[in-house]
Amino acid sequence: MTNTIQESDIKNLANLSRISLTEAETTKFTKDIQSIVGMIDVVNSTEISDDLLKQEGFAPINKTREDMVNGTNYSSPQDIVSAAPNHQDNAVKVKKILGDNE
Amino acid sequence: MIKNIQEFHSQLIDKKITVTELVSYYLKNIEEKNKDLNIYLEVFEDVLENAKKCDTELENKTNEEIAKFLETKKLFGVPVAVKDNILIKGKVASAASKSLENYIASYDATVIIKMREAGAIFLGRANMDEFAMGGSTENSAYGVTKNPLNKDYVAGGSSGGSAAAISADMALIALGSDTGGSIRQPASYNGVTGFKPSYGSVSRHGLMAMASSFDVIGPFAKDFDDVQKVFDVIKGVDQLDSTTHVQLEPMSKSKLKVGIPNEFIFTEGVSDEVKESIKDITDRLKEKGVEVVDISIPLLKESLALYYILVPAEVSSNMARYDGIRYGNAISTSNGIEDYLQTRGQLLGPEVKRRIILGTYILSAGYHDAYYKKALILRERLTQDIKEKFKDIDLILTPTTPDTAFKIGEKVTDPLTLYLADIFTVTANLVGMPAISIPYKNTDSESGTENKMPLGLQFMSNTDDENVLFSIAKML
Repeated sequence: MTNTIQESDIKNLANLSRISLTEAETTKFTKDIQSIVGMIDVVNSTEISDDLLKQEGFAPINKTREDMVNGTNYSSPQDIVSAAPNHQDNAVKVKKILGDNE
Repeated sequence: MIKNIQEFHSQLIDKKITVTELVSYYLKNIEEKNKDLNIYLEVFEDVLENAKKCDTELENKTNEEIAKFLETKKLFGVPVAVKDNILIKGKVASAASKSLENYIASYDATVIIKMREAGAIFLGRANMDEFAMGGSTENSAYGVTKNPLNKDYVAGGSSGGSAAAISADMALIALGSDTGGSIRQPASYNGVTGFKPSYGSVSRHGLMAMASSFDVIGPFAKDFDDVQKVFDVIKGVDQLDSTTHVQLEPMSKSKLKVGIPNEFIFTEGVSDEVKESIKDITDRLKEKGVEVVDISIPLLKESLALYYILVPAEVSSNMARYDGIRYGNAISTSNGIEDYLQTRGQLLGPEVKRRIILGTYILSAGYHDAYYKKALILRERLTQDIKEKFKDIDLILTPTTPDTAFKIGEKVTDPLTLYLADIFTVTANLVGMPAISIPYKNTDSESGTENKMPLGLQFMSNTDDENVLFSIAKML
């Protein structure tokens, strides 16, 4: 049976996703995601053995390369830092996380 | 004016045209029509300068010398529209999002380097659904792209601007990206050819990631030869994308065999004219000596569900980088965490937010096993089932979309209805196999007159067997 999505679930998921939502968006997304979950729930109608589900997942194939500057198509540290909305003295500037009252 | 690269290069050899003339032709079309159609988000200021450099290179060459030169520069002077999620160093790349409105790429995508080396000229940034999420460009933060064949209709998406650039004669070639049909669906809606290569055959380096195990860059053109030419230039192993692989040598085939999953096509939700197109093309294939067989792949009916489990999961992870700290625009508030919430809340569009939240739900404790892990297992099973079919057949034929282009605004409030339009295209991305959408002349069977909105036929082949797609396309 498809799970019922509540507005409180959407608020919680939005917070976990670091997205602020308006009340109207919360109501709309609750309805939308409920109908999408109804559609994707079809995967639960296909039988998959418990053994397969217990597996840790598919083993990744790692490809590595030498850790060296290769070619000229790379960004300079200055380019990367200057892409940040706030930067100063060749460093990304962020707000203080731990204040005097923390 | 010019219908394909071969014609353009022949005229360059005969000195009947200059690169500047062709580029100017497209710039004039853009000037006249773009304000209304909203195909380009930006036309680069250096286009004419680059065209003149090309002409200077040919200036003192004889016809024979030019012919020899063009053998090494397969895309010389070819004007290209580039989807706004592919990076060109020094140019804005916004992914049609307010969050990256002023973001300037700090490096070139590998496909850009390869195309530039082959002589291509980049005309500008083509409109798209924000971060490639959508099927109509209605999710662009900069307004919808109208279908050049009928302005009341969508151009499709997510690479809607790229497809429309070809059909509106605003570029000879366009680049797009395809995560679940984002090249093939707009190609179908615009009556042009759109090609999604095998996963890992073209480097994703410099393509803004949407769903990393699905994304692939591919071309649009009016002509099958042109998409093949572009593919030959952009494919190849790239050290900067560890998912690229050496392609297997294609086997030559004397006779082609096409499988059609009829039980999947002849169902409710697929329009009559689309069903007719499959019947008609089946007859035409048989006339040309192609063997056509009915195939059954029961898991196909679950492919859309698998797609909308796995893609949002990858989206939610990939989109975490747009935090207002590292790139683009940011909303400033009284504290860091609120900056993060407001930047993503205010600068990302509804579809992007919906998919991030859906992906977070799918990956959350309790639902990870029920959805994500099951979908991974079924994705592998679907891949094996299709590989098994390709031991007997060479191609799978389906429509590209269940219907022709829809009207602007018709589906925008109901995302699920829009997702259902992806039913035939998502499978190729789930299994990493190549697929091409070729235009089908859509005529009314009673009156015999051509309908305004075109259809697309989709052929899919086994991984790395792109050649068979080009063969069948040329045959039709």
